[in-house]
Amino acid sequence: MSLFRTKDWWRASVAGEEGEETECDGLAFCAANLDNDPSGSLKLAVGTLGGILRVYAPREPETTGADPQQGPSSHANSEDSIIEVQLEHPILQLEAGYFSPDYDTCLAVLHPRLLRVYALHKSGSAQDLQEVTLQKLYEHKLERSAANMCSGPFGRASTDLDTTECDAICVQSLDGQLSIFEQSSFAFSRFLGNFVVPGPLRYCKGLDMFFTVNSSYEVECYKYQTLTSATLSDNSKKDESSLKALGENNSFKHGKKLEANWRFVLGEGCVDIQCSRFTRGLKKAWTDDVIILGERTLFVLSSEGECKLQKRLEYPPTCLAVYPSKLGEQGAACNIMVATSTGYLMVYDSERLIWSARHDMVPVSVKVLTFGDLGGLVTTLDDKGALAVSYMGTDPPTQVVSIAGEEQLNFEEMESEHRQLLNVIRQHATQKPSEPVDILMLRAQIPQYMKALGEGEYGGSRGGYDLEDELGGRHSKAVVGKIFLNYSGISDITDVSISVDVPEPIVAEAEPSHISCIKGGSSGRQTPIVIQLKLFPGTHCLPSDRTLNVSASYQTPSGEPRISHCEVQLPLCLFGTLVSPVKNATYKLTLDTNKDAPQLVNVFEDIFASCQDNYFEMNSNVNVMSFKYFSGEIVTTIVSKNAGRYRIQSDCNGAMWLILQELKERLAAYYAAADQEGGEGLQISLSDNVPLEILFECIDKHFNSVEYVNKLHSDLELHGRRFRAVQKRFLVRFKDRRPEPLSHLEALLDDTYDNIIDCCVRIDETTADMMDRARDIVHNCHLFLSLLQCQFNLTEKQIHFLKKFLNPQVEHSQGGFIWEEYTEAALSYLLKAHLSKSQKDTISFGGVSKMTSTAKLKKLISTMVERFSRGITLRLPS
Amino acid sequence: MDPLWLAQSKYRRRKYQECVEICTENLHRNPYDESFWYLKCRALTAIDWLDDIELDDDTLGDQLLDENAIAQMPRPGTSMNRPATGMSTAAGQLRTRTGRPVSSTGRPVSGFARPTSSALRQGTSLERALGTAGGRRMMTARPVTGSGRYVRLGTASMLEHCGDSFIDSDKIDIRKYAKKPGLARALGDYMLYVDHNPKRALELCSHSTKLTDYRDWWWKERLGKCYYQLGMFRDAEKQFLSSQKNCCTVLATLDLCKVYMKMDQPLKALEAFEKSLEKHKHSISLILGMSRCHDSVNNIEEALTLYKQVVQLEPSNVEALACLANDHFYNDQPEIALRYYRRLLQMGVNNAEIWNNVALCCFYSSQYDMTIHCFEKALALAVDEGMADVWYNVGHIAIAIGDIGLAYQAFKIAVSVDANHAESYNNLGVLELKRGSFEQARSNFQVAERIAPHLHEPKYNSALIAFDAGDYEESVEMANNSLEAFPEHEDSKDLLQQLDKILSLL
Repeated sequence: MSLFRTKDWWRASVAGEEGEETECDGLAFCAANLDNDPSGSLKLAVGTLGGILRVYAPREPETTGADPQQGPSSHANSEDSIIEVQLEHPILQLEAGYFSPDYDTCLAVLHPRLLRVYALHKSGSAQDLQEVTLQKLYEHKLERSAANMCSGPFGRASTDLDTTECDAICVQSLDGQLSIFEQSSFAFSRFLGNFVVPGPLRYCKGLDMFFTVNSSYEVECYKYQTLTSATLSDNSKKDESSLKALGENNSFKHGKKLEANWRFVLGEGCVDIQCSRFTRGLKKAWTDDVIILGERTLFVLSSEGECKLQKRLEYPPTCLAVYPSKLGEQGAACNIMVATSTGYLMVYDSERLIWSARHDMVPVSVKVLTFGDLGGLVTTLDDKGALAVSYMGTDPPTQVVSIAGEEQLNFEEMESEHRQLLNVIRQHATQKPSEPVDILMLRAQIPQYMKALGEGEYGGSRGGYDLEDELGGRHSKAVVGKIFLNYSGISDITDVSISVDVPEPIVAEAEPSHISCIKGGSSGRQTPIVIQLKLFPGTHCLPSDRTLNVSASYQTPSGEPRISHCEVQLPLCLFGTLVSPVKNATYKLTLDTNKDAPQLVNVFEDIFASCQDNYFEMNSNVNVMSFKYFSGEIVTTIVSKNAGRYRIQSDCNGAMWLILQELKERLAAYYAAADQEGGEGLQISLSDNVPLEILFECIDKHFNSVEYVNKLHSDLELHGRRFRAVQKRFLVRFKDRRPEPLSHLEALLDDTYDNIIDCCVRIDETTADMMDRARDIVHNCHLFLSLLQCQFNLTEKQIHFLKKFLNPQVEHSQGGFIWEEYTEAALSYLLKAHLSKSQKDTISFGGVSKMTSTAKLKKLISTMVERFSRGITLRLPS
Repeated sequence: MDPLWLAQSKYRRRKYQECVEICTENLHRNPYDESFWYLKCRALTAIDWLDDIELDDDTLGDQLLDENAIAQMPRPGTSMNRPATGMSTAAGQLRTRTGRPVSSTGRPVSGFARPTSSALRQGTSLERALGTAGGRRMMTARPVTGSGRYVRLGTASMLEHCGDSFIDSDKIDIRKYAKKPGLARALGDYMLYVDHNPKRALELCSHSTKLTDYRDWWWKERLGKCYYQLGMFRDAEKQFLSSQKNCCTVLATLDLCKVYMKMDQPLKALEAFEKSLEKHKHSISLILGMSRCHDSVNNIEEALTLYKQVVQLEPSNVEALACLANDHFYNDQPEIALRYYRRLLQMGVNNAEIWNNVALCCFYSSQYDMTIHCFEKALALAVDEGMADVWYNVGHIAIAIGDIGLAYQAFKIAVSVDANHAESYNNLGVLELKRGSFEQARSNFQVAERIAPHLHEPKYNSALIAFDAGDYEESVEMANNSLEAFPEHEDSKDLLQQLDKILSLL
């Protein structure tokens, strides 16, 4: 991140024709006075992997009055390019140096198997008409594939600078051989130790040392003397070994591995190595430091291999340049420039960041050079071959971060728009959103009888609810109903999915349950879509409810999700069948009516009809009916014809709820059909008081059962924790080199494990028990509400409202509140808000809280019944 | 051209994928070529590289099963769990709490969001861990899972086609590789960063440490990293210390301090930082680490001086600038904060948060014309979570200029964008109260309280409402709750006193 951007001074692209891919490695780039121009001006040489060598002499662009902001004016003209040659091999590296006594500066080009040294030869006289040709001075064929090279006055640097002798070249091969060439002659070669892949190679003139980074992330330093002296000891050994006739192992004759002078562990890959004076203020003239750019850290090491500085970089660096901080001054401390892969150039003076600027390319090589009289120009090359010479512009950024809305604000317009928006918002807030007209209508048709299903018809996926024993039939039976989807809208609706919610133990199957699209149409009503609904009875428990909920969700074209819904009462035949009358029972209820009782057959016509014929014939005149649920409970209804009195009895209290409700509804319907003239309405009343004890007993049992399950869960947690603790001990023991004896830990582990398993089994059992208790509550709750209605003559609406507080639905969630707690909270609110003598304005809801005993809940229920009996009416919310 | 050279060149130029392709092709031909194996190993590591120094999220598993029990009641200023205890003076504490918004652990919000800053540290119980996973902002509700910790999002799915098929760390012979120093380090990094198999990496590291006569700082550092990833902090600490003894590297120091922070020992971490700073005088990483550490124990003054040092060393350090700006803003110097933020903008940081901050600075330094534009810009750039905060601030501005309608709308939008924006609920409640809809206000406060139990404002407001309604019992309870969340809240104290008087009269 930086305020500044670099400014282009000169620019060129090495890429050839349009569209041609050019690849440049950072090594194939060097700057020197290659054509030995007397003025000493620098030339830039760039080689590509395609083998094209180009040399440029950047000159200051003529500013033709164009805006300096516009880059293109600084592009290179053709005159700046001195030479362009296609060489036959890929160019791996370029190095400029004093490689031949005839030329001050030559160009060494490294090809994969070839090292060539060229000189740029000028011919012609006039300055502008000079022709430059590439002249080959000498070449070396390389035995091994080359990786990189470095050059310098090896071996003479530290003693005295003899300028008459030429620079030597050291080539590193891909398998770790260093070969040293002195001009046209091959000097010697050495192998690097512990070699995997070649690392960067750098020769430091001041120290006469080679630096490289090996593949175990270590910097290695080799003095030139070490390289040469290794030869001697090597030769003596070689003589011995050659006596042992190592045949054609000739290529390894210099196989003695080198030992580095020192090593330093970087701990990460190396990007580049440079040598320069880094520490300020030291008097000693030639104490160069090694500056190493790692992949994540910048290191500065002294010539003895001590770490002088390490700086973690927050960006991935790509290349490094080192230049003296004061231009022209020999031996001055240097600044470090790091180019980042995020496109920034960072300049450091020791650890301090002194400048950073955004650069418009990600360079693979960067140099700080002087062209003409202009020093400190940053020359960068990217891997597509774009070459740029730029300077650090110190102008603050010109493109100010703009804030939208330069134009004059039109306040009147804004005001009116604002008003308009406010209107919309207000309308939205006051009006209720109108329901759209075109909705999906749902209608369900459920017949009153069961149908035997053929083998194929039965949805096999459900498994068998085969009621063979109960019903005596050969095949499974089901109630087959229909759901009609009526859509009258204009636009299409999509993604219609139908879901059916049935109470326990009924199982439903709807086919198809998903319709991808229902077409809308303007032309009147369409035929409804019919969905077949199969309802299978179940045997494992008493029914918890008798309503069937069908809902369909779909999407309108504008993407709104919508839902339509319908409810149907399930037929009695789904829950049980008639059996021969049973006389005795534990629990009895007596209902009085103000009308003469009809024959039971007339009231329960459908259920008699669905039974076997012989039964119907035998019992058609009897005033007793025994209904047996598929789960086995029997409820008997006895009619006293003259008194208009009904008795419902059963061994199971909860089982009576369904029959009681059915009876009430059917009687109401029967008399409504009979008395067309609208005489006196049917009155059903309960002769005794509503029995509370049975409900209380259910609640207690359920509550205890929940408590027990919770206790088991906490036990399980405890055992689990203990198990883990023991395991940990074990681990500690086993990890120890000299472990202590186990001292019966294993017995403890076994025991704990047994406990856990035992706990789990018991939780399984008790949870099932808890569910049974919960069902008991549901049934008794239904019964209780029905009786309450009879006794206190509550309207349908009132009982519906009451159901919301004493909800006949019990759900369990781990760690959540249980039914008793919810009901307690709801009832205490009900008593305060809707069942009190005087009406208060605001009653706050106390909130649900954990309970420890059911006493308060029981008291609330009794209070409710008592208030009803005192004649307080249940106030419904308006 | 030699393919090895080309592969290396590609690696140098950071074209890792191409490098991997070349290596794979050549390894196919000769599976025993160490050079290609090595290069591929490094290239894959470079692709999956993640600076784990900066990353430290407690995973759900860690929170559930953390058994590194440390003192429940730390002494003042020694723990990050109870940062409020860290301040030396009560006045200083007051300043931080009233001035700055706090995060859910009670630490003041820092000016710079790093991955770590979202990590919750309070409590170690199961309920807490699960509660934070579900109860926090909707967008971040996904708890960090074990495998996700060191895997960059997005690369996790790519693991199988580049990672697993290359080296199966469970099957290779660790001893053999440990004896090849050229390959061992690259393999170690691969196992840690690509394969995420700290167990095997640990084996390799310990073998290698042995082979290098226990003198190699790097292997020890990696050994510590393995221990850290395995959750064995004490062992990690030992290794990092030993690594530092061999060679005092910045890396090992950062690692060590990370362990200390994980073990909730900020003072130990500071000590380690200081010791290392003696050697590496101007290391920005160390100074920044120190100031974060100070920040985490609420020692803001110290942190600020360190941030200033960082800026002197590196004028373009975004984190330091943002933190300084943040502090100036909350110290009632919006003009100076604005300058910092403008600098950040010019440097190229361009996101919703910064525009939002610029807008707020503009507003508080009375440059109203800029405010709206900046908010517009912020909203244009905002995504999901940030959006709610921007609207929340718009709401504030609207309240300040008296446009209650706009404020109401803004808070409503904030809540609609992020259903768990407790601050907005609280303010909505206050506005509802102004409108006179008592019940609405109360439910808003309740929602705010449920979402963010660490905020004292909704509690105080609830107390006020209850007081006005005459429900003194509830009022006392809520006021006490509010004081629990923020012990120095004067208004709550006043309210309690008033209640005391009334109740004693009764």
